[in-house]
Amino acid sequence: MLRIEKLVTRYGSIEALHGISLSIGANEMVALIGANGAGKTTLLNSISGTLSTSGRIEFEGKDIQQMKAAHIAKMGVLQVPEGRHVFPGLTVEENLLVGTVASKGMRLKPGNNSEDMEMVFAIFPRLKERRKQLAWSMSGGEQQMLAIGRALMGKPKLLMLDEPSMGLAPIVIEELFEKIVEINKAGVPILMVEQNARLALKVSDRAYILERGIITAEGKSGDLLHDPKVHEAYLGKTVVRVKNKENVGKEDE
Amino acid sequence: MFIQLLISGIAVGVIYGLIAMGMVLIFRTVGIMNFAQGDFLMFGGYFAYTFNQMFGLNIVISLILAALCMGVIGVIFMRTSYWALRKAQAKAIIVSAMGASIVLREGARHIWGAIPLTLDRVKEGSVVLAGATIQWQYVAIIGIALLMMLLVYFLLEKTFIGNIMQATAQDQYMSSLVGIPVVVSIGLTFALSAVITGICGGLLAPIFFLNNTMGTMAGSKAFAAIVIGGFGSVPGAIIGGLIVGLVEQFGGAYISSTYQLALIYIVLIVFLMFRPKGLFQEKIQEKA
Repeated sequence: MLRIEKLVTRYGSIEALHGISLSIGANEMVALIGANGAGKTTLLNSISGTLSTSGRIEFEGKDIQQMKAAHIAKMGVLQVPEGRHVFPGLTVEENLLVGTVASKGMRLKPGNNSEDMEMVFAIFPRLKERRKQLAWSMSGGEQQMLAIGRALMGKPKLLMLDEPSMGLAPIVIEELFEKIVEINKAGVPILMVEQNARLALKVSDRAYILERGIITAEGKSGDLLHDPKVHEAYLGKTVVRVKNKENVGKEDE
Repeated sequence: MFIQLLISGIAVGVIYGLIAMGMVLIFRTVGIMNFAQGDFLMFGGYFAYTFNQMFGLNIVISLILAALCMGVIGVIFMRTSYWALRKAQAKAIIVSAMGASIVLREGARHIWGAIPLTLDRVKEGSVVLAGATIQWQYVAIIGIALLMMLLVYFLLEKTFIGNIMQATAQDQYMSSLVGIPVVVSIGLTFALSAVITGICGGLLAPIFFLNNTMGTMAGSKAFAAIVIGGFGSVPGAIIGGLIVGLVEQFGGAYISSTYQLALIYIVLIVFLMFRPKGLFQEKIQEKA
């Protein structure tokens, strides 16, 4: 489906990705793991076409590296960015409808989208209850569901999720990840960036580990989960103590 | 006298309201105040003049054609004054809009000359209502302005393309990720803004005369309307415009026509002192 070769992305004179190669197969769920600043979000934005890159990005055999973001989205490569980015002043329903631009283009009337809408509501029933509510007023978990639902309305051929668990309560994360697995089982390949390495490795088929702009390890998620090096670096041997009290619970909702 | 002033105040007020609405549409989309908005008013007036006086077309048809021309001007303005600078600091875009304002003003003088011009009224004559003589043009202005406000509301809130334009205004990065060609969506917003402001020029010209600096004054009154109504709010812009129009007309008649403009700014200062956020606030809020 997606093949990336020797991808280099720069911010001005600073090189953030130094030649990444990666591939995603049909129906696969692939996790991308790495510390803050490793370049995970940069990689997703490079694929989405919101950053200029060099190297080769191929999707379904077509070179998309030079294409504009809107065009890449229309091909079915849809990203749910970090921090959700719902359209705050639109209702839940309007947000979902705007998601159909990827599959159906700009138009005066939305047309009939009830089938897709029901499909999204079947996965996230909470959205149906809140369909007339403005997106900004929803909780963090609901916004994340909306952001994923909006991407599904665009009929993704590849779904990229950036930190879907960020800022959510553990119980909400559990529910959300069940849904993500459900979406993947329905035939949508997923590339997931996740800080919560243990969770990401548990639900994914394969994983890549990104460190300072290069891929340092890749393999089956199950193998990586038990790899002592990965264990030490990302899953942690000891309990991490929270030193700074101010940061506790700051992210929540 | 009172009824006459009330009607003319409302008529001038809805015009300021429409100009302010045009500014707010652009402000919400790109985050800057367009200081060339008043010049859209002037240019629209000149286009209407061209079709009406030079080609001899009916005034209503002239206004519609002028509106279409203004749509094109809006898109050109967006491409030349904003798009290249979209990732630059806001002040760069503001300066670029000021530059465009000078280009439009001096360009108009080159094309149409510096002598004040006039054009046909939508309806000549006047009507007597409760003892007051009211010019039909004021009634026409109020009617057409209300119609345009309704059309803009319908377009933005009830059509899909309007939702797409709102989405682009709220989050350009995300819009491109769902497949919206951002340049098209922003171009449409600028076109809409230039259209509603341009029609006002054609409506005002028979009353105040057309000259190439009329936009500067109208633009600053519209800016006052935005501050009074609440920055970024569409209903606020309209109510703010009405307040400015009524203050101007009543103040001019009962207090002093010399201090008309000063009165508007006094009201503006009072608002800034006691209600700096304006009458209306945006519907989107930060979550606590």
